Amino acid sequence: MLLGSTQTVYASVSLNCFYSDQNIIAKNSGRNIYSLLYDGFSASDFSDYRSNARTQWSNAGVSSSYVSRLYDSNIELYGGKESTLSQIDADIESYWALTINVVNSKTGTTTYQGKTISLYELNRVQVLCPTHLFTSPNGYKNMFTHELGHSLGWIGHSSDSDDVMYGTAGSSRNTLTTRDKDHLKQMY
Amino acid sequence: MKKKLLFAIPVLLLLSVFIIDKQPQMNEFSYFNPEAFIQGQLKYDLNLDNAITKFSSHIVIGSPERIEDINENYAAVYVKVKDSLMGDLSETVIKVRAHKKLLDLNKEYIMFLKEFDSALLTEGFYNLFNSYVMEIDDSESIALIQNPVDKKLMKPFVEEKYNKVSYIKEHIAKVKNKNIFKDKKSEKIIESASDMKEMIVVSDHIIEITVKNLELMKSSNDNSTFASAGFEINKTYKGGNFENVYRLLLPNVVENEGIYLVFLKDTYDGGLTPTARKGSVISVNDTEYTKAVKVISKD
Repeated sequence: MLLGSTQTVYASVSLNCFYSDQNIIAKNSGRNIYSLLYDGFSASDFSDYRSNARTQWSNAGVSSSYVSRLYDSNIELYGGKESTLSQIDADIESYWALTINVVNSKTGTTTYQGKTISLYELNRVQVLCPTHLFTSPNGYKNMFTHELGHSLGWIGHSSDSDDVMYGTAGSSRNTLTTRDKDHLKQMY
Repeated sequence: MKKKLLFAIPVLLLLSVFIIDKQPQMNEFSYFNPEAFIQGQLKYDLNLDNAITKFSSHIVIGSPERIEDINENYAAVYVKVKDSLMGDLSETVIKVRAHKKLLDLNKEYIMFLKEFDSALLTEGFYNLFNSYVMEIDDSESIALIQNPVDKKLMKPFVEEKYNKVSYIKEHIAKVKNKNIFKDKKSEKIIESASDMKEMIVVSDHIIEITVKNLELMKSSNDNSTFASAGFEINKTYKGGNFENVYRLLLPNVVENEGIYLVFLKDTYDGGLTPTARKGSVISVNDTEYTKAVKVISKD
């Protein structure tokens, strides 16, 4: 159902739950992932972390596709050494991992338990996952799944430490919780 | 009203910290402006001492005199330095890369900066630690910028004992000897080597490659385009013992299937970078190529 004037189209989204600490949720209609591994990770590890993340979100009802050309993508996923990824965005030097969501438009607002929630459509996203962080594969799987979650529209963080979308890095949980999934799939 | 509510979202998220995999404590940080949501996991707790000792190589009091947008997220801000509080600084006006909309012309700020340069850039810059920017008012009081869009300020500053410029200057002077970058030599990027012999000496790796699967990419650092090049090594003249290196970031002068002599240096974490801003990539079709190979082969 579409509401609103001829200038602005407001999508009607009814939220049954909301677990983010920010009153924002987004949709990424494209969800075409272009990934590039520069250095640091072994190719098989990188592929494993990436696939785990994508499968987790796909099982939650938010599927995505790989594309082979940057031009065709709207999610760019880069893995590599910090010094390499800093050529793309120097801010990575202060972070363990970074997701930059560029907004297409604000598509409307809705309410959940009295809070006004802003709805956005994402235009394109850059995800930078450096190599130097974790000693265990599960730490990386958590990081990739968490960052992919942001790129698909999970804006902000969960306050429950069991969730992959919890706000602090370092968890080795690599499977999404019901809360992680339920929050985002409402947008799809 | 709706707009106001949206932009009143707190920028700083100071969440509980824990240690897994023996990692340092970490915070998640989200930064929102109407055009972009930047979300990341900071390496260290977000507090004044870490801003001084871990997130910055330089701290200045300065005022933006010119702002140029780089892209949807970032701007190049030319800052007139009023006072340098940490780190050697010879310039009076410095180029600062900051999140868009964060800084206003002619206002005065305490800026926590990290020097950044790369052979892929035409010039280096100081990268602003956007999570911790302090605005100074006419009475020399300071406030942390909490929301860049409506310029919401955290007042008084969370650490009240440093609530005046003079107090915070004193504190910075006390703790700056703990700065993790203080003993690191500023790695000045070589503009171009004086001759081929120098280029050979300063390079850790000299290889001839064929470029494969070339992608041109925009850098968020200065909106320039660089080459993300897959490669096959045809010949190694120096170094070249690469492990898990799949692509090279090179100046935007290479072409797919082109053959190039490439001069590279190791970075602090084992990555690779072109040796100099100019002359790090020589095409096999270039007259310089034969000359260069001759000198390299002699060495």
